[in-house]
Amino acid sequence: MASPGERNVPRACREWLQQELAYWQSQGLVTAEQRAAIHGLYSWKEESAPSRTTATVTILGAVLLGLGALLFVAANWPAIPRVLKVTLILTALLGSHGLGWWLWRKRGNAPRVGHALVLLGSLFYGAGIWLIAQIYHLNAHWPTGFLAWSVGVAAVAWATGSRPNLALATALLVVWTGAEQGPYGLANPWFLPLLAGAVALAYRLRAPEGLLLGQLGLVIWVSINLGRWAQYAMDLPLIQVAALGAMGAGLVAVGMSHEAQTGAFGRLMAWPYLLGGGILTLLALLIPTFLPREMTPDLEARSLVAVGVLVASALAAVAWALREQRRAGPSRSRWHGAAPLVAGALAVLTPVLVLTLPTGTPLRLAFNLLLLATILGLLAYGYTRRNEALVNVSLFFFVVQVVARYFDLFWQLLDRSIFFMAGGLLLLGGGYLLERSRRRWLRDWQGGDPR
Amino acid sequence: MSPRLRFVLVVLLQVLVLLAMIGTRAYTLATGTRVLLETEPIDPRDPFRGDYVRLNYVISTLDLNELQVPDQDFEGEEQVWVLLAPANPYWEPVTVTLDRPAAGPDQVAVRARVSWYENWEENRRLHLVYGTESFFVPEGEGRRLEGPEVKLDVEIAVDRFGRAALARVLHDGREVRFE
Repeated sequence: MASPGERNVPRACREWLQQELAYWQSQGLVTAEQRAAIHGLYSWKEESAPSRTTATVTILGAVLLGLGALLFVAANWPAIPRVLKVTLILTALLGSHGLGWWLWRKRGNAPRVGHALVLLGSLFYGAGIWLIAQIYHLNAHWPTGFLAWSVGVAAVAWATGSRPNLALATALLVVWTGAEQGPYGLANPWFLPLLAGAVALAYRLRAPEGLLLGQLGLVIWVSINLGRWAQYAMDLPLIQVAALGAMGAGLVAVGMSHEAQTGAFGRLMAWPYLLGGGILTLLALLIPTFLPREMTPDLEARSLVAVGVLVASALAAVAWALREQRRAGPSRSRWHGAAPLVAGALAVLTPVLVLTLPTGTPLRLAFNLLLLATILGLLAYGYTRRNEALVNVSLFFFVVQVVARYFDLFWQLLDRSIFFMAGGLLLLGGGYLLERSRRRWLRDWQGGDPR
Repeated sequence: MSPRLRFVLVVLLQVLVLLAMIGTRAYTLATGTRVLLETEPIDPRDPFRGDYVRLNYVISTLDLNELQVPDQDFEGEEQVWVLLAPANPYWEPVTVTLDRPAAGPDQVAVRARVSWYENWEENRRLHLVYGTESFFVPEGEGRRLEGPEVKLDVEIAVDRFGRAALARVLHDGREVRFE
């Protein structure tokens, strides 16, 4: 006979078990007593607040020390000879890596401080790159410095399983492609395989923050390259909206796929896609509502092919999400089951509308309606899936849209001002009601069973 | 492979990258031919490496008609070779080519990257970057080296692979040093 609390599981598993037990009881599979008995078998492996605080404080300490080292390099203090500077930085690199490993893995009694010291070693490595570049007056293609830094830090993340190191490596990869594509104007195709490597490592280390940073990199890479291909600067927003809209909806669909997977892993890896994809989708829908002048979409073949590839990828993600939902069994919410289809529709509709509708009033009107509908859809999805971040993001975009429309319509359509002011007031009132509801929902979530 | 060995190898990799950066530059400076160039400086700042004097060489812009370079297109970021010959007192460009040119006994061939290529009407100019355009200085020290009235000369070293490294910066004929 199993004794109560003998099975110790992580916090995310508890949430899943609580949901499923309630569902099993509603289906008549278990009684209330059986539900309580099953629930009682498990104890929860809570990470204590002090240990989380220690981790945060030590990581912040490492970041401050590392930034201090970078500034020290930048100051180029002449009192210390160059040879001594190089010796100091190499000693600091080896010392913090060595001491960090010893505390984290070998001695094991101060793992969080040890982990932070390994991160500090990675920052010293970067400081070393810039110090040597400074000493030898190197300026040949400076973005390569970020690439060398990123690869070195990613190797540490791979060797130690350190999530902060992976986040740093991915952030540096994003800076690298921004520098290659921005100041140097290069297409930088090597970014994609390197990003794929970083994403694979993020999955291996279960590092959602790495996925979020990776999405940022992909957005930068796609946007700048489409901008390079466009013939006229005024064409830029339209083709980029088409691409980013498809990409955002696709990322949301990937998030839904993970969410449908059972277990803590799916839930953990879902949020960066839902959050990043949600923000990207809403941003792509918001931009055309600010484009009053006549514009011509850039219909260059390679740009259209790129958008087509993104739409096809988004639809593949939708198919994956539907398959995962079928595997997970019948859904309690009809809306939840239809959500991937809505994401798929958005992935197609956004590029088609932005590239075919006449610019000016038709485009602005269509995207205002689409944005409002998407905000409400994401709000409903966030609420039913208890995703607080998604609810907050939706409300933020709702407020932005209300304020933007209130002012730009007021200034541009003065003869219809009474009509639009009434509409603006209605939207502001609606925003207020939604905010009140949001607080009630958040209270519900924080206290006991949200259903 | 044990986790410890894996970590040690990764840290060694980081150290090797840093030592390789030092080694290649030290090799160029130790073995390269010294070439004196004429410049016009300005003083910006880099967030990671600090203040620096940006060196704009006379050979950073080449008039292709003057050099009698055959009509051809150059792409941005493309690598080219510049053949330099000693003159009095500065070295001057002889030609620019996509492949490494055969250098005479007193000449050196240096690698450069195309920054941009101007080709309009009768003008054909090539703007180049040699990788030695930054002279890093202690914070605040760059100001005395900036401005149109300041005359700087730069000695670069060019090794047998065509790589250039900044060897010395001369202000009124004297080396600028901060240590």
